[in-house]
Amino acid sequence: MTPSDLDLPGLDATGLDATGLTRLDAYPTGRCGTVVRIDAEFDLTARMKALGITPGRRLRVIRRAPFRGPIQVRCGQTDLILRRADASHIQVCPYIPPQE
Amino acid sequence: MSKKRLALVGMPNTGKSTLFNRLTGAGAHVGNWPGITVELLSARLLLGDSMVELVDLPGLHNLHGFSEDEKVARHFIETQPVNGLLVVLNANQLDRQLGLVLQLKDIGLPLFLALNMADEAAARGIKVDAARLSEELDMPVHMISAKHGQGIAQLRTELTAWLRQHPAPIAVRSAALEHDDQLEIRLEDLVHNTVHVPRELPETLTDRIDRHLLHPWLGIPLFFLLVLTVFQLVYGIGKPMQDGLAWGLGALKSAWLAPALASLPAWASSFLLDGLYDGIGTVLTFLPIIVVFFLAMAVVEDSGYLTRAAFLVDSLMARMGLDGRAFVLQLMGFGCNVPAMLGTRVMRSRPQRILTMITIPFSLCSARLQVFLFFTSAVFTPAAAPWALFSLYVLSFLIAFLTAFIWRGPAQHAREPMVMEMPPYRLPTLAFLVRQSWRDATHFLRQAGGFIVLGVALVWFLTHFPLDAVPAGPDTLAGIAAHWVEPLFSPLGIESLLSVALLFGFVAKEVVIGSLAVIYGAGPTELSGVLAQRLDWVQAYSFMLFTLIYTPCLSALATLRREGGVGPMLLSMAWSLALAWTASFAFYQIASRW
Repeated sequence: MTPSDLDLPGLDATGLDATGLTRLDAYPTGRCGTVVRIDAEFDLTARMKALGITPGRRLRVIRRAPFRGPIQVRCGQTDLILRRADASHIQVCPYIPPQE
Repeated sequence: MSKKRLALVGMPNTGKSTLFNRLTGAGAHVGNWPGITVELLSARLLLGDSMVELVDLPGLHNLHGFSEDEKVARHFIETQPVNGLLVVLNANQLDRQLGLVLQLKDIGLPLFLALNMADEAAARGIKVDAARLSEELDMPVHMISAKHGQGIAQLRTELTAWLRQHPAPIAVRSAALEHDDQLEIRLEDLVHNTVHVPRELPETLTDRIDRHLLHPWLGIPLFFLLVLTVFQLVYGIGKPMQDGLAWGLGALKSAWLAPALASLPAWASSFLLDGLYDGIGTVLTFLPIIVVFFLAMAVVEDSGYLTRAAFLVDSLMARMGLDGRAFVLQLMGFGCNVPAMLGTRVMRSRPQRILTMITIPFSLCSARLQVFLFFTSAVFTPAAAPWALFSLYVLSFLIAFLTAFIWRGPAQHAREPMVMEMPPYRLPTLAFLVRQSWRDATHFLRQAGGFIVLGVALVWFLTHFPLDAVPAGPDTLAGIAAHWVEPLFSPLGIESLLSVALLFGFVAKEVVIGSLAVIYGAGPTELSGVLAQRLDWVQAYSFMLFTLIYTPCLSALATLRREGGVGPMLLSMAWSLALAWTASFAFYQIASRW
């Protein structure tokens, strides 16, 4: 994977750990993660991509709505809300900040 | 002079409509297009020596989207020849929005790129190399702020020059819409070369507000507090203005109009004064409240708070077969049910869309608000009136939920994904609010000019014919009709003459108050006294319950038929009538015995 978008300089293959994959709905709030894979149907995947969620991009779960409601995710300059069921199609791994 | 056509394209929340209004002024009209079932907003603007028709396409996230809106936009691009596309992007979010430009570029239409919200991007430290972007994409790129008007003059100049290079409308090959090869890699390179975003974006005001408004436990109570505050505000500002207007109209009638018409035959002056003047005047007194109300709605809608409301209540709505968006549309329905029903086009699953459209008519729209304002302030004490009104809003939600729960059927399993943007908080400009209130006021007056005039004239005729009968007495046409329906309405505590007003409310709820004024032969100022005298609070509340629940106005039904079909329309009609009768019956029978 090439260095992805602007807000993650230095992200490379070392940031991806195939064994450490988590579904986005279960990813801890406040922690940065990197999108590895989207397993949703074509249409939903396209919508997610249009809203900025594509493999290689960094994102962060901002908060979760009460009663197992949607989650708020920040990806680049866009804040999104996704239902947990929809977020479960997104596989994330922990984002490892580049060594400086 | 040649005629050209330009389509305005962009994702939702990019300020596309703001730019459309900025470029075209007030001259927009809704047009029908051959082969396209939904109406699209279009307007003419003069660029240099050519008259250009600018068509505002619905927002689309990508060219392969499956939502109704996206299908419409794509279908338009595929079938209607245009000189080019004016693409609006949010300059803050080029990291993802440029993907749409790359898709559009593949279909071979000339593109002109407007990067909107340039002011917001600059404030956040986001730098865009527009010259480089233009070079890489091989199309004009222009930074603007549609909201504040920055860069609009240059945009017009450049658009003019650009259109000269593309004099002939082009139809695209639809096959070109099918593939996007390596879009993501191209997007990455493009963004990398042209956009600079600071490493750490500072915490924004939006983040700080959301910490409270989206708090896990405080969020929902704060939401209800906010709704209550908005209605108190509307009531507090609008009510004195309404009273003033009613006083003025009454004074005008007794001081000037009545003496001036004294020479006419009795029936003619009765028709003009007790029919048209009182009827229309009573409806007119609501103009200030309606304008204040729609202004408040515009601020709430524009602020971005509605998405947050959807976020907060989505899981509760899911239990009723609806989703957070349905809830937001219900809130929008507080203004007018019709646009809220049209808003369901963002939903892809048909059962869910229909279910949402059936629940929206229970939203207490501004027309019903007029009736309730009048009744609550006439029958309840000033301290109790706002609470009576608030209880109707709560009921409006509960009934919508009940309806969804009962009819959820297939929609329950047709759960469609909900993935949407949560925009930062924004405030509308004063100019926008002025334009908005002007539009709402003229819309209201046009309605008043149309079937409200017709309605009150008809009510006058029914309550005064035969001319020798006591007005609104048992021998008039209205009296006879009321006598027929009496067995149906007397168990609800709704007296026969009030049921005549309900009959007219079927056409539009705006007519109800006007027809009451005519039925009781009372002007705007006297009507509340008459109502207070004739009705106790139980009867009044029963009437309001019926008004809240029964069949929405004709325009709502027509919209439901057009968007959902005959079946859902009949279901909505029968269900709401049955429910209204049952609810009023139960309420009246229990409350009057207490």
